[in-house]
Amino acid sequence: MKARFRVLILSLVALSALVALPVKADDKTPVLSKEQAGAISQSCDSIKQSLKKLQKADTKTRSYLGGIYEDFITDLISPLNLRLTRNNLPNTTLTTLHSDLILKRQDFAQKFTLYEQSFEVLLTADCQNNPEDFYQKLQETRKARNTLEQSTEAFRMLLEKHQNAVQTLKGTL
Amino acid sequence: MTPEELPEKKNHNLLLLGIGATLIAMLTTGISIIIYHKSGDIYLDRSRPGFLPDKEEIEDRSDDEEYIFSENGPVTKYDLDEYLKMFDEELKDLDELKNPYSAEPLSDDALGIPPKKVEPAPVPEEEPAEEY
Repeated sequence: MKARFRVLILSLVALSALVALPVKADDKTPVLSKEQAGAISQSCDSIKQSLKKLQKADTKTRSYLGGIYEDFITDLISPLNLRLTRNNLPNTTLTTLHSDLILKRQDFAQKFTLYEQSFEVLLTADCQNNPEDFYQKLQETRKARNTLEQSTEAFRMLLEKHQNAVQTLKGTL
Repeated sequence: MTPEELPEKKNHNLLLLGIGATLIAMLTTGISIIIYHKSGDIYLDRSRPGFLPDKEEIEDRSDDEEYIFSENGPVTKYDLDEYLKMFDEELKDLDELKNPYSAEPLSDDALGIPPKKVEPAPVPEEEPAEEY
């Protein structure tokens, strides 16, 4: 019993040693210059106002894009694939692209959510007293926005592929 | 329990019921709000204050023509031509929005953050020429 207890204690100590993060001196180099930090602190209010306007515009864009993506899938692509199947002309390329577009639309929605969450965190940051932290959060929001932009570009490319596939199909009729 | 104690117990039970019901309501409302935030639905909600659609946006949307391809019927070159025309029109609507979510609105320039000044590299001191 005592031996088992000792083994348990030793295992816990070993595990904690593995899990414990190594301690080292903070080697973060400042991202902002003093001039930049000063400018952010001074114009914190106007920066926040600009960001809030952008957030509203982004939501409007999301609504617009979401509606169009839905129209493409529901009103055009799905009915076409169904019609092809009913006429014994199933097309694997078009079917695959249909699935890809549905997945890409979901991906866009997820990426937008992540972007907006990042934006909310940015808006709550204190740019007046802690401009470095604000700028770091701004960098993260920029990355999320870039990922979102790539998602919209990917959807557009899939639409073009679909268009080309339909052209090819038309040529075979 | 004596008859005198009965009304007191009933009042006590009623109070507990009220408190319990309030706590349950608060808990379920809290959970709903958390799910609302976590799922991202809050970011799609255009009924939030400050995010309501503009009047022009509503009017534009009602003017949009709907392009719906029928799932019934034959598949001929003519039908696919009609389909591609509708597809092109939708693509035009999509392309009206140029560069959605471009990097520019979040750039330092757009937010009024001055660029980081690159300090020039220090010039090495010239050694004095030897006198011969």
